[in-house]
Amino acid sequence: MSTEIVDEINLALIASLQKKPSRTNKDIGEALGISEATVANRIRAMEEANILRVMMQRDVRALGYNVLALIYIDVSGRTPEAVANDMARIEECTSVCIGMGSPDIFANINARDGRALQCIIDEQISVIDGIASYEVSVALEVLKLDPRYGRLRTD
Amino acid sequence: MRLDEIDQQIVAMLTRDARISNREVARLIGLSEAGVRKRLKRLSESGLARIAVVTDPGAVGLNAAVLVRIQVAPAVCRSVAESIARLEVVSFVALMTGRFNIVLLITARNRQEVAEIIHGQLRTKLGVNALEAIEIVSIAKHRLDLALVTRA
Repeated sequence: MSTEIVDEINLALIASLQKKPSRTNKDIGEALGISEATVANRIRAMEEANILRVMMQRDVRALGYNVLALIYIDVSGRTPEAVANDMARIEECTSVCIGMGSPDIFANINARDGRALQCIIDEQISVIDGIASYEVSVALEVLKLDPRYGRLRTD
Repeated sequence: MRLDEIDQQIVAMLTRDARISNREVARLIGLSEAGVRKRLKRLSESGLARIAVVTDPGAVGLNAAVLVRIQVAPAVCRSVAESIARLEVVSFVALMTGRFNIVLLITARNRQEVAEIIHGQLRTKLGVNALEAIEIVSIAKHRLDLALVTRA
C-alpha cells in the first residue's frame, strides 16, 4: 500500500502546502531543512502515487448550481454498489457514498434551482432500479467545506 | 463575474496541476505572465475557484469517515453548527431542511476516534436531541474539480 511513503517529512510537506499552496519548493525546503530537489522529488512521488494533488477547484455556483441537496437512499433487490454506480452516472451528482446500514447510499445533488432539482429526482433518480425509498434534504447554508481530503485513486 | 474562454483554459490547466508556474501557464496560453497573474488574482477574489491541496485520507492514516445527521433545537441550531465547524476533524457542516437540521462529515484515524467525537463533542452539546451516524464504506464517485468554496 501507499502508506509507507507518507513519513513524517511528507506529512510536514503536505501541511506546509496546505497552509500556502503557492509556496515554492525552495521556501518549503528551507523551512523543513531539506533541499529544494528533495521537496520536488517527494511531491512528485506523492502525486504519482495518488496521495497528493494540488489542484484548482471551481465553485459549483460558477456553473450555475445554486441548490445543493443531499439524498439518502434505501435499496432493495439490488446491491447498494450497483445502485450507487447508476447514481454516479448522473452529471449533477458530484459525490456518491455507500454507507453501512440505513440509508444504504447518500449522494450530493447540485441543481440550478428547486425546479431543476425536482426534474433530476423525477427523471434521473426515481427511474433507477432498486431504489426502495429516498429522502431529500436541501442545504440552507454550508458553513464549512474543507477541501483537504478526497479520493485520488482512479480505480 | 463570468469566466471567459481564457479563464476557463487557465482553470482547466490548474485543475490538472496547480503547481505549474504562472510563466508556464502564460507560455502555453500565449499570454503575458502579468496577464496570467491578474486573471488568477481576479479568480481567487471572486470566490469562484480556489487552489486546494487534496490528500487521500487513507494514505495519511485517516481510515474512518462518517456522515452525521443531528437534530438540534432551533434556537441554538446555528451556534451549534458554528461550534462544530471549528472542530479540526469535521470537514463539512451544513444547515439542512428536514428531520435533521445539521449534517456534518467526520474524517478521523479510526472508528474509535469517531466515536469519541460523537459521544464527547456532539451528544453532549446542549440542544442536540437526536443523532444518526452513517459510516462510509465506499465511495462510488467524488468529483474534486468541483466544490463549494466557503470562506473559513
